[in-house]
Amino acid sequence: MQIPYTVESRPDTGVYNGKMGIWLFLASEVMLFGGLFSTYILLRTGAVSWLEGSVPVEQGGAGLNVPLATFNTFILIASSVTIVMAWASLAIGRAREKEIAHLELEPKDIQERITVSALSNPQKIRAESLKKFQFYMGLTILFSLLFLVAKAYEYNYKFSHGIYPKTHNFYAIYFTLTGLHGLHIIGGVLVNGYFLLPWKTLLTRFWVIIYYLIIPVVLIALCAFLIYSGSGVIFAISPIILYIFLLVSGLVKTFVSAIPGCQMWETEPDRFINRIECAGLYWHFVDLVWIFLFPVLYLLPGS
Amino acid sequence: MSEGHIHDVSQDVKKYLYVFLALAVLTVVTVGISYIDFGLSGSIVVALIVATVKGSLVAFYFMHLNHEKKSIYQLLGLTAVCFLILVFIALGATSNKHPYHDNEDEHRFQKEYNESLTHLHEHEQHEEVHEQDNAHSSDFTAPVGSPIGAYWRNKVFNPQQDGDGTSDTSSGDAIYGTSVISGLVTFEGKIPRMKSLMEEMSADIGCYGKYTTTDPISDTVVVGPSNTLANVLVRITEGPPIGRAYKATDEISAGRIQVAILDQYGCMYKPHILAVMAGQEITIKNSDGIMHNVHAIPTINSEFNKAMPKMTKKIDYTFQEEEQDPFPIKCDVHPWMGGYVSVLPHPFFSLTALNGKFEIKNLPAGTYLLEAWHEKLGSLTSTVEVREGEISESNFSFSKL
Repeated sequence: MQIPYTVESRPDTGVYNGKMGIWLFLASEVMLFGGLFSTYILLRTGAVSWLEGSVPVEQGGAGLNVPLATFNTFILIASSVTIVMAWASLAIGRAREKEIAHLELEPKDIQERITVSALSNPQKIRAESLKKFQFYMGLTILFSLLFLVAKAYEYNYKFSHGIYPKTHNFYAIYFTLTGLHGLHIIGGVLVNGYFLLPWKTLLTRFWVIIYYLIIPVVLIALCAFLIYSGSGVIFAISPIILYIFLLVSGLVKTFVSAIPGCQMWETEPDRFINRIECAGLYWHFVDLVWIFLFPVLYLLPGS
Repeated sequence: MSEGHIHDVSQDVKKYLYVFLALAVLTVVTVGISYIDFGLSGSIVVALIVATVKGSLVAFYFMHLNHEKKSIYQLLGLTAVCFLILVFIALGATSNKHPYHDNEDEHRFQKEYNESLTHLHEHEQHEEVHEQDNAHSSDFTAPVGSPIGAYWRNKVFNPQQDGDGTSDTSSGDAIYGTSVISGLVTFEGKIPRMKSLMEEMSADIGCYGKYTTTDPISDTVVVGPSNTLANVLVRITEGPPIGRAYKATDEISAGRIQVAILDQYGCMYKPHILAVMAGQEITIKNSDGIMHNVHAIPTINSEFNKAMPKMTKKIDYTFQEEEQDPFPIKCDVHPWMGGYVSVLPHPFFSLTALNGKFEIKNLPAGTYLLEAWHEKLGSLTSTVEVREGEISESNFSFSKL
């Protein structure tokens, strides 16, 4: 099956379909967060008094951790740069690769051709740009995880001090906005993690372990539990267990062949560049939301 | 995408680093700026401007909106319109908000209200009290402690002053004597039955949960056995020690006045009326352990409005300037919660309890003008002469007007 316009632009929109898709998704995200910002405005202007984020709880504020949130802001900005660098290293590598291939086909100057070939060849460039990409993408994921750790620390601190969304409308909207934003970070980590590694190879390599060890162990544990917890129900459901075994192994096998991860760079480099661009657009949006969340929740004075 | 754009992308890499630096600097700026006081709306505008600049940098350079196709711009334009509609719905919904929410509105209202009272009651004190009753039943605070009373009384006692409520307390050292004025405050007539607050409190277990045996009763007029009246503030308004400098800290350490504690218990103010000296620290407690806010509306001191979330057990606050009249203190979360605070320049005052008794001690000998004030029943005055070391008695009898 060929998916149309994954690389070339669709004539009527002028962009490849993935880009139009991610922008449509981001537009819906703007409305999702917009609705919550609207809620913030309504809660705040309708409130008799409003807590100030940076003021400690003992002094009647919300006691949010401004230094930690500032740190998180830097982290997210940095991750935005690294993910755009990840995309740029692929794009630059691809362009150089094409340039060299072009030179080899139509050498204008034999000396130039020799120089270029001696320095590099298309395969080498492709492998190098993938390494660069993995470096920047790895950094991006590392920053995202750092952000989540800081956020988890903040949440834990609040909960351990008896502060929940029900405590005050401020915390209700605080937890809703930062919680939804945190979910977006987690989603980004999953997608970026998928693009980081050659999953097809990894899963194929470990397929033997998965097939002969993990799935049987899980199933045997299930059977043991059923036998232990009573009766001969195990005999009644043994066909179901066999069915589950076949279903899971089949699913995993199909799954493995369908998830190339960063291996798409080998087979369809231009499509992979576009995928990374879309992942980047999403990630910049998550950064952008935080850029507004940070002053609104942490820095604005109370009333 | 990348075809033939090698130079573009390479140049972009430099741009990305500059944008990163700009974003880092702007982050520092937005945090730094938050320490400067621009007022509420000023801070919001400044914070949003910085955030918009940062957001635009991300959108234009990282998300490549600086050279994107028309179709994407159209999509984003539509999104922006929808987003603005969402925000303006929220802003529009708050434009016909409750009068409490805007302090300026409230001040304007009170000013207009007081002005109208000035015209109506220049010569009729009785009707003033009547108006107070009406005001009490409405959403707005009773203007008992409002400038009208101060204005009127100043005209009587200090005709040379312009009635801005301030009087000179800085001249002269504090003097004390051994004379005492004491007496009894009673209520005459049919005792009004105060309504139960159970129904109003029923929404909040933090409130009604404190009343297990009896219903919570409104404490506007509290009459004790043998018709004695509680919550009456008796104070010296004219006489020898007035106009001298008394210091709250000295009075407390000498034991002439008590430490001021205002507790919120069972969604009522304990005590209902609090009398303190100017500059005396008030400890506001939240024994309920639920969300309250303490909203004081003084005439001369600046307005005070602090939220007390359940984890805030106490806050301290001091009214620095004396007030001619007691002013209301209320909780906007629980509309029935109301009390009064009187900020006085000297320690010669007393509050009646359920037994209706008051006692003002340490007075030098002389002739005094004594005022008994009740939030609902108005004020009564009497002239009392007391000799050194003796006790003069002065009784007040309030009646429903």
